[in-house]
Amino acid sequence: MHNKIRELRQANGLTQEELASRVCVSRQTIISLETGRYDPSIHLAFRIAQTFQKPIEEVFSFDKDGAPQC
Amino acid sequence: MLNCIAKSKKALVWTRITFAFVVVNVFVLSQVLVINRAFIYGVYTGLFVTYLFYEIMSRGFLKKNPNTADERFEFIHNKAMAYSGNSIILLLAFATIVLRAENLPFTVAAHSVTFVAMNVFVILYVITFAWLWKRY
Repeated sequence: MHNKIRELRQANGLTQEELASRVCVSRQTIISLETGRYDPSIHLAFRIAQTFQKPIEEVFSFDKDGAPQC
Repeated sequence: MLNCIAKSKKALVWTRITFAFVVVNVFVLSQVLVINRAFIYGVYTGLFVTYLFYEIMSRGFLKKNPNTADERFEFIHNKAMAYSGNSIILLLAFATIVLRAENLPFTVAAHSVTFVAMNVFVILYVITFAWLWKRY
């Protein structure tokens, strides 16, 4: 799964620590999400999208082209 | 399982309950099985020191890092528990067969088997957790 967390976080002027605190996770989790090593649960994905005030599909997509994969 | 430091308040509460349970059980078992007093005092001292360390470290850790027990941590913890649990079951299944053999050149005491099983589980958990922490 691809995400735009790093771009949106930097655009909003947030540090990893600040974003982590806003979505109630650890900084390590934000690092893992940004590097694509960990896929979030739907709850966390919604919390992140809400933090950036974006619809979830604008933050997360199945791959870089947005096409779902099995 | 004791994981050095509690990563959530829930874990801390459960550890307190577990410690209380162990203390009561050691007391009951020592009476029933007539275990050497010096050994029991040693166990109690070990339990007390471990509990104190766990409690103090956990409180400090939770104050500094309130969000450490997040979903990624739970995910890694669950996987590590599953890997180490399955491995220990396989190991014990193998040991069950081997230890039933009549021509073994050595004898194994029951407490040695449980001691080895417990320690292998803890070591496997720590190694798997560290590996998964790097991977995810």
